[in-house]
Amino acid sequence: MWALDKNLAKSEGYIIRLIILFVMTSVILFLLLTLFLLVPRIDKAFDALQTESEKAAVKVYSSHLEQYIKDRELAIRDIANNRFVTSSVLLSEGDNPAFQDYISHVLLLGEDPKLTVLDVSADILFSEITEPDAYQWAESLLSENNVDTKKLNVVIDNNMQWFDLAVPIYYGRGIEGVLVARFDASPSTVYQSDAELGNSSAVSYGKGNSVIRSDHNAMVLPSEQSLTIKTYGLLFSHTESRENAEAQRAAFLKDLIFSVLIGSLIIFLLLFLLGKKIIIQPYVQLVKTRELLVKREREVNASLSFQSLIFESIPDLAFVKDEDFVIVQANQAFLNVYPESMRDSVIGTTSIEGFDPEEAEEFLKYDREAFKDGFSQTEETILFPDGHERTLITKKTRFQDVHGKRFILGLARDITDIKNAEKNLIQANAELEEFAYRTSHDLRSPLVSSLGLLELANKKIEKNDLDMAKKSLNIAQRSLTTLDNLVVDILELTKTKNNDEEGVVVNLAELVADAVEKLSQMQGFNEICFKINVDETLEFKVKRSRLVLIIENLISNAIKYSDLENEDPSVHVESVVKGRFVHFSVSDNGLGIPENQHGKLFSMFKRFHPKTSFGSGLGLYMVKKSADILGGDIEYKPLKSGSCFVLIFPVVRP
Amino acid sequence: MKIKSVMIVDDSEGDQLLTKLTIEEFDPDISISQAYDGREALGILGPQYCPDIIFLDINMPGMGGHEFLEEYSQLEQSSTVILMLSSSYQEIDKQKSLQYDFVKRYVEKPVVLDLLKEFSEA
Repeated sequence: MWALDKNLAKSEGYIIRLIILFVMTSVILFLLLTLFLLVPRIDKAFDALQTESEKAAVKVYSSHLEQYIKDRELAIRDIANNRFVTSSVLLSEGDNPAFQDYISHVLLLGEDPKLTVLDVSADILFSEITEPDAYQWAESLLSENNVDTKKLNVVIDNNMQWFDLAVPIYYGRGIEGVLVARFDASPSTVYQSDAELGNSSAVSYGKGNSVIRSDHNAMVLPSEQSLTIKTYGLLFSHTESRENAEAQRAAFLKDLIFSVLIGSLIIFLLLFLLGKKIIIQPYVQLVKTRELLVKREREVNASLSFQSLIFESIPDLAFVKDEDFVIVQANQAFLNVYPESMRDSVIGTTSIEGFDPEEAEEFLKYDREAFKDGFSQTEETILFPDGHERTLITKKTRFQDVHGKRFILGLARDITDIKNAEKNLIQANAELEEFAYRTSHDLRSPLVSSLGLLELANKKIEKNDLDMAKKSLNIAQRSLTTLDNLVVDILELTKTKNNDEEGVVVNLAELVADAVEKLSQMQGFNEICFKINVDETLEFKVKRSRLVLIIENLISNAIKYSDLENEDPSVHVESVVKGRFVHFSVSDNGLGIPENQHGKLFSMFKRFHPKTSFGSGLGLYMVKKSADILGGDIEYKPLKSGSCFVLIFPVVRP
Repeated sequence: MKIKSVMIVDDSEGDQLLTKLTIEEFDPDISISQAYDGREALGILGPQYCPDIIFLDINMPGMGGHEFLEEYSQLEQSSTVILMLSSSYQEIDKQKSLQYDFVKRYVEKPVVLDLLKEFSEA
């Protein structure tokens, strides 16, 4: 968890930085675009607007001027007196000394000049005269860039019949036209004195000596003039100068950039202050949640696969059944009890199909019990579909899944080996008990009878009945010999049970010859005809003393239980090799063994021949045990007359 | 009760001799028959021969005491008193033996004389 938080913290910082970088880049790009694309357009738009406005102004001016000139006397006077309208193109000329002079001359002459207004191209806007070509000279006034607009130009007719007073007028960026007044008089009549007629005159007189203008009046006239101008419909709007326009444009751009900057700043601040809360944190939360989910899922998957690994690794037979007794899950150990061809189809079936109906019902009985009581346990020996019989201890536990559906989990442990071991132990224990019992009897019996016999012998000696005493002693001696044999056999038996002997290479024919030689002192040995049919070259590796014990016991039994009434008693020893196994048989034509005793043949303390019984009853038992140790088996085959014992054991050929 | 005939069933030569001598000492007139295992004893026993007492050893090769009792009980000649003799006392042997009506005692060897006295006085 800690590592995950750290990663998330890292990615959170990364995301914040990324978003801030993105926003800043956007703002900067927006500003740059605004400046490089918008500004020239705005500039152009301003220029166009200005030009339009100026053109309109000229038109308005011209039309008004036309009217104005119709009432020229008053108009001229108004114009002459107009000083305060600064923004008017024409009226601003009021401050122009040349214009002032022009006006003064016009007024002083008391003449009524014919007025003409020329535009920049020297085309006539309007005129009171009929010779439009007469103003070609005006072009020079306009074309010369450095025309002194403050100078009054006088153009005199060659015949001295008239003269023009011309003054450039401007209402925009430069000279926009020329105002011409033609006087049908000789200039000489007008210019009598430059100084007197100059702008310096304090009082001007009009026709009929009426005072047209005085400096004094001029000072008090503004309100009247304003009225006058209104009377003539001359309401001159404030035409913005180019400077004003430039300033306005600059101010607009300044405002624009400023507002864009402010807007950016606000967005930036908003993002900075709230962005974290309203965008990044939810986003980070989302990322965090998703990462957690992915991690959880991974953990869940890992733990799920771990669970199923655990389930698979259970060495016992593990399975899960639903309420219809259908196997929904089973581990490999469980599947392994089915033949390979069936394994794929086990899950999804009720598992009882392959079993005997009785066993199947037994299964279901404990399934039902587990569903009812929550738990059941049973130990059963079952013949499995794979053909093996196994003893299982099966515990079944009920559980519910998250949907409340009920299942049972079964765990069956194969206790066949334990059961077998238990069986062997019980058998061994029974044998041991039997052994203890028989030993106590068989040891005590000859002792008790020997004591009695010795006592009897004593009595008989006292009574001088020496024959009886001797008989008694002989019986006692035989009895004690039997006891001794028994003790020897018990010792041998103890050895037999201890099987940690190593195999050595032996020659079977030699072992048989040694045994026969050893037993040659037995009673009745000389009457018996031995037929030995053992391959003299047969050698193999075997636990020697075990094999010797078997050979000696079998041959000794054959001698011991030979039929004394038979005319030619014989013992036949034979060996045949069949593959890895040696079949070694000892047969005789002796007493044989009663049929009803065959089952007990290899048990402890079993003797079958009352009157010839001088054995311990342990011989065949030891033979059987020894055969087991050799990994072989001993079989008894009854003959018509006599017995045949066959030992079959595996050998390692050198 | 005067004991007239006794049968000894025992595989041990010594015990046979001792029992026989003890009986002869007790009363030389008692006729004694001997068998070395149950099978032989059954061969001797029959409608013509029914001894008063059988001294029966339990452990014998071939047919032992218990097997003999099993077969004997089928013969319905249960008038004979059988006295079980064992060289070692075993409770299970005793239980097994005394379940037959005709088995009167289960004793350890050698106690033949006392038994003879007891049964002749009875």
